[in-house]
Amino acid sequence: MRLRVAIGVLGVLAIGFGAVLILLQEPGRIPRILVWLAGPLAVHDGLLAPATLGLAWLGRRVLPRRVWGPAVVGLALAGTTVLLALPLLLSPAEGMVPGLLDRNYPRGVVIGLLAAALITGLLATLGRGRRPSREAESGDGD
Amino acid sequence: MGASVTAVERLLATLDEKGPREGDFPSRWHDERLAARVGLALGICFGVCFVTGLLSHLIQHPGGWFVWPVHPAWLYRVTQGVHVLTGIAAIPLLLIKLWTVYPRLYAVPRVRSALHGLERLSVAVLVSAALFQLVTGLQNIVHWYPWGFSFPRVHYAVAWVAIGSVVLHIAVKLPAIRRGLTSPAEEAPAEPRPRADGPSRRWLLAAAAAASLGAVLATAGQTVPWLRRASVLAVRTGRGPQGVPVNKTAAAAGVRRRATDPGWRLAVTGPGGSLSLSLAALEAMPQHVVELPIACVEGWSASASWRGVRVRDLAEAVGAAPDASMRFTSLQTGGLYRVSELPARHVRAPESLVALQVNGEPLNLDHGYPCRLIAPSRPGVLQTKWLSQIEVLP
Repeated sequence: MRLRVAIGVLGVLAIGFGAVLILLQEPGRIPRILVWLAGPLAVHDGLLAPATLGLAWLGRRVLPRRVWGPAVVGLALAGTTVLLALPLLLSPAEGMVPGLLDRNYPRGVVIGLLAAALITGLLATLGRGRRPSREAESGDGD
Repeated sequence: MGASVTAVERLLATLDEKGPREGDFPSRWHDERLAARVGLALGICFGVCFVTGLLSHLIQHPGGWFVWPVHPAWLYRVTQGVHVLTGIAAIPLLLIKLWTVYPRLYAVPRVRSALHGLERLSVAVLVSAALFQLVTGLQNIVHWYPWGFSFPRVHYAVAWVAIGSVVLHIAVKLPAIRRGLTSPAEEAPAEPRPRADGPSRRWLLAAAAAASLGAVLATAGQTVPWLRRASVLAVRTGRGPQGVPVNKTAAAAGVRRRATDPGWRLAVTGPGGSLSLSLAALEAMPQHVVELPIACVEGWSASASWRGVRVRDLAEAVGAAPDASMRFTSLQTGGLYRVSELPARHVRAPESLVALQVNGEPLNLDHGYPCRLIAPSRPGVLQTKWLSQIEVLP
């Protein structure tokens, strides 16, 4: 318990140090900083997480039970592809600096999504060959 | 004000009554075994990201006690590459970690006690600081600054808030982390089955591993040359004019006219006198060729062959003491990186050059023509371009 308290105090000190740095160095920008702290949180909790819940709900209804697992791997890969691509596609700096954003990103997104689909398909096919897993067996009996 | 408070109260009351509750999320994946495992990977990423970021900060804002080695020359290339890549790997890990604990957001009663309220507040601080670091870091590497505050300052300050919140969270959750990590990811067959069965928990761990490894593979080519073709979402290919990427162009720095002025001279001052060197005078000095990477704070890097005059030859020419550091000033009239200091260890290193050529050609205007600093194991922003003055510091 004493160890936990010591670790906790260290954490609080680090948080305090960060807060003091902001107060001292960017006092005039605190409202903007708070908006950028709260904004991503709100987007995640209010938009991204509910949208994922919706996709999961939909997946459970339209996909056969044995591909649920592979589908989650596919969703994580595809979602990561999209999130990583957003700043690349939206940045206003494209073309302003030699060598910055010098790839074909729509093509990169297509490759990422194809890889996600391929891996999902592969996992589902491999899974079919094996004997049914425990959760599939017990799924109806519970 | 009073009306809006009652409106908020009414909204909260409606949420309490009709909104989702923790128990409404029956999936087996909202689970402390998964939270602990994904959390461990995420904690490691954040720890490494924090330490490498702190190193980069200290190199740029050296205190008296901090010593950054000159060798190996690729050290900063690796630490900063790792900084950006662990941040990228943390993106899917953070989102999946949040998924495992999402129902907690709807725990009722929302606040049981002052302590419980503080704990929930600390989690909100943790999640916002973590998301802030990943979002702003990702936008910084694509030069997208819509926020109107100083990115380096605030990213550094919030890094302390984020790592402090991680440490606090570990302290608060230590028993749950222990439980989560020591129990197997799957229940024993005899254990009661959860209400809503789904695929094995291992699938979520597989998804977390695949997505974070995939994210690294898709971006690491900006610093790992043999991954260049595979990294389809890398910010840079690592190519650029004369084979080297550029971060600030001569046009953006506003130095085009002064850099191409035939009257340009490099002023070198020290305790033993001062020199005013034309480009021809620099070319007449002994030239050395070194292979050094240019490694940006944004995580990209590229190796190149540089040719020019040794910094230590210039230092000796103006009578610098062997333990003297030097200040390099650019033709730029403003900007965060107009001036840089080169510590004494770097001044003495034979690889540190005032470079006149890169990859066999005179420096292109965007690479710092007429001459630039290039030294081992330093952030690109400190490899000052378009040099106008070099001073030996007392």
